[in-house]
Amino acid sequence: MFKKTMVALATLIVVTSLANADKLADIKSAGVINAGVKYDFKPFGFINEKGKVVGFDIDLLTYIAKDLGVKIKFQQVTSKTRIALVAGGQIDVVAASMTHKVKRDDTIDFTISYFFDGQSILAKKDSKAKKADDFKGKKVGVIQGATSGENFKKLVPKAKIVSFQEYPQAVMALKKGKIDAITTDLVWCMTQVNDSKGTLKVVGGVLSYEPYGMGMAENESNLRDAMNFAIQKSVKDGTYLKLYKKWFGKNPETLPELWP
Amino acid sequence: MSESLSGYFNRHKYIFWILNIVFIIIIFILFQKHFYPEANFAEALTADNIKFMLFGMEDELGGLVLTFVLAFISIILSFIIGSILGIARYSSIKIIKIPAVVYIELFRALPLIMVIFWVYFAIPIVGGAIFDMKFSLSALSSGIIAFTLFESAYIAEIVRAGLNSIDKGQFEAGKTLGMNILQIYIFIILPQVYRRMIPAILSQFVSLFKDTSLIYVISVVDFFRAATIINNRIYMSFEIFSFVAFIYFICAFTLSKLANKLEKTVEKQLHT
Amino acid sequence: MVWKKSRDIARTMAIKKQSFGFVTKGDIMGYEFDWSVLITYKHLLVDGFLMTLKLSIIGIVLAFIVGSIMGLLRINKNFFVAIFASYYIEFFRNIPLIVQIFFIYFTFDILEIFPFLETVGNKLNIENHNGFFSALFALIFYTSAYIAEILRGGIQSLPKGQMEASKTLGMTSIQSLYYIILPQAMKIVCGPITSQFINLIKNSSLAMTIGVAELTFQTQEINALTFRGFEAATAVTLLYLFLTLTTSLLMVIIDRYALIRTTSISIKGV
Repeated sequence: MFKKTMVALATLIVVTSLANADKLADIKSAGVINAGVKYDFKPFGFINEKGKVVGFDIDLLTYIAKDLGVKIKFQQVTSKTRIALVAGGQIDVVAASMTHKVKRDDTIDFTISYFFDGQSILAKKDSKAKKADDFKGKKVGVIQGATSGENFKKLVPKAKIVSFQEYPQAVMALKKGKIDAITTDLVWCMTQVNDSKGTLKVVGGVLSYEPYGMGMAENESNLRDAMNFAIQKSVKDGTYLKLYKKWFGKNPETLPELWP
Repeated sequence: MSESLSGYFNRHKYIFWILNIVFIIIIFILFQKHFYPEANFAEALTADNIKFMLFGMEDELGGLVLTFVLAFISIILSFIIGSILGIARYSSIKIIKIPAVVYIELFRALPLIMVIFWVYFAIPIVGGAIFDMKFSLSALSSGIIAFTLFESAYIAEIVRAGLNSIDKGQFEAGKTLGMNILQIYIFIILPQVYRRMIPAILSQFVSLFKDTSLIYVISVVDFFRAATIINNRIYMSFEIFSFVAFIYFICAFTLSKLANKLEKTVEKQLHT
Repeated sequence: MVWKKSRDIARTMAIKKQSFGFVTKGDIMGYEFDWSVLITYKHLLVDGFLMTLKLSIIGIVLAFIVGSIMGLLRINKNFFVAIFASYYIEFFRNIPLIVQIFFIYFTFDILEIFPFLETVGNKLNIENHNGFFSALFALIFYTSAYIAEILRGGIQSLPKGQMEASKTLGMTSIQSLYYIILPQAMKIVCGPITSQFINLIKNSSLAMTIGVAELTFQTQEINALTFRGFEAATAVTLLYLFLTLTTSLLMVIIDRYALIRTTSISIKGV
């Protein structure tokens, strides 16, 4: 317990050097990379029964950290806070099922896309809706800060959008009937359907194209290169395929791009 | 009849407490049966879950232990800063007094969540920009800093109230003995002020203990956050949040009763 | 090592010839202040401010009523009534407000239990009924517990002779409470009650955790949309300052004009 307190106190303030210094060099000299992941988004990042944080993003980041030769330390981010935290420097990289959007490139930089998903709708089993338009005038839950909200508003302007702070609150609201559907990425919807023992279903197919990228601070090209190479290495030596099968149960349809 | 009953309970306090506990348990069971018949406590409160809520994630300080550590560290730091601020607020030198007034009024008007957001998100960006240095605060340290800044405003008010209750004659007596102002404060005034302030400071500690749950918003895994993480996985909110409320109630209630006892002892000391 | 770092910093600063000062639009070495986002998104700030107002005003009024009732019940001669009130007070004082909010929000469906609240919510232009009313109830329970304690302390600090004297004059308990005890008690507790009202306004910010779109929520929203958290936080800080100062001012006015004036209240032993 004492050791834990000391370790905790020692990780209090991180002061990095002057603004011109290179983030990758900093990380390598510190020996630890601070990674932000989600703790509540199965299967990309969540906490299992033992209290450990696991998921596809976690495994991929662990591989990258090993490739860079540093240890990894995870921190929780939410859809709302992930960009602000990496732009402010509290976190070095963030892999939190974040879609690579052009608008986000203004504030942070992205790696190559490492996962390709689409947006979909999750509704209760007995919902009569068949496609997105059926939710006109109904309450649809989104998460504050995720792209799904704006996309859905553009698609179905007459739907009533209810913002939640975190995914589990949205799921509980859906289960209790306070909202009619949740719209977010397809893989999450399908995981919820698998976990829900038949009470939920996916409606409406894929509504948009969502390539995920890992985010880091603006203008850190050494770090970005290192991470891109590490992601591609994971595809080349088969780790990516293994992890994909482990967390999603099938082979990927699109792989991250490989450079010769 | 009720008067003799209260007299009886005053004399036999242990029976009172045992009956209280039994009564609370009965009411809770009735409440649960009515509102939430399908509650399943065994599944929600497994040993793993309880261990996670009390101790947090592996290799890290977390859970209920972190809540206590946070409250403790923050109250000590804000005690130091608050005392300085309180003395500054009490002094009549404008240059010292005005910044203290501004600080106290500002932090008493802001909600604690806003202070946490300021410290965690805004200050590193702007501070880094001003000093051309990228520095970042970990979530834990932002929490401690935010709590300290917030509580020191309240402690400053308590110190000021304590200073107001000290007879001005004490200052004059110190001066006639040839002490400078610093010695007067350290040896004469502050010991008396602290004796009087102990109950108020202890109640601030209890209130801070409850407010540490707010560090939820910057994703530090304290007791409340750990409970919500488990809830996010298994969706059994009634069981988990009853447990959380129960633990918080026991800790806060015990702490405030201890504070009351300490206050009574100090009162006796002051008036003998 | 620290000395070396600070020497490096001083050197860089000298080379770059820093200037300190906040400009309205421009940058301080990399952070561009952009205050125009406040104007583009002012509808968010206005919505948030109104929501905080709704929570605060209804909360203050109801918390005061409930708290006063509980405070009076706490000092009732009947043992069971007093114990009931003290259960209420201790229960809602010792559980953190955020835990209460979560418990009520996730366990109960407020609109099912109190259907009339749907119409109330529609009249007030609220979208998230469940969140708003869960937060409102939690705020009322929490603050009323504190107000009850304060009122109890205020009444008990009055000399016992007051109650006895009014009884000898032939007044019933309720009459003596209404004409003699409460006016004096209100005068005594006016200050602490003002603090509790201000606490309620500040605590309304916790409603953001369940999605109620009040001021603090809007800070996050603006930050998420434009990454201009600093400007948003500054605006919201000023708005909170405005709310708390207005409340203090209102209470001072009430204190001066509405409450009775007494010259010597706490003469112990008389």
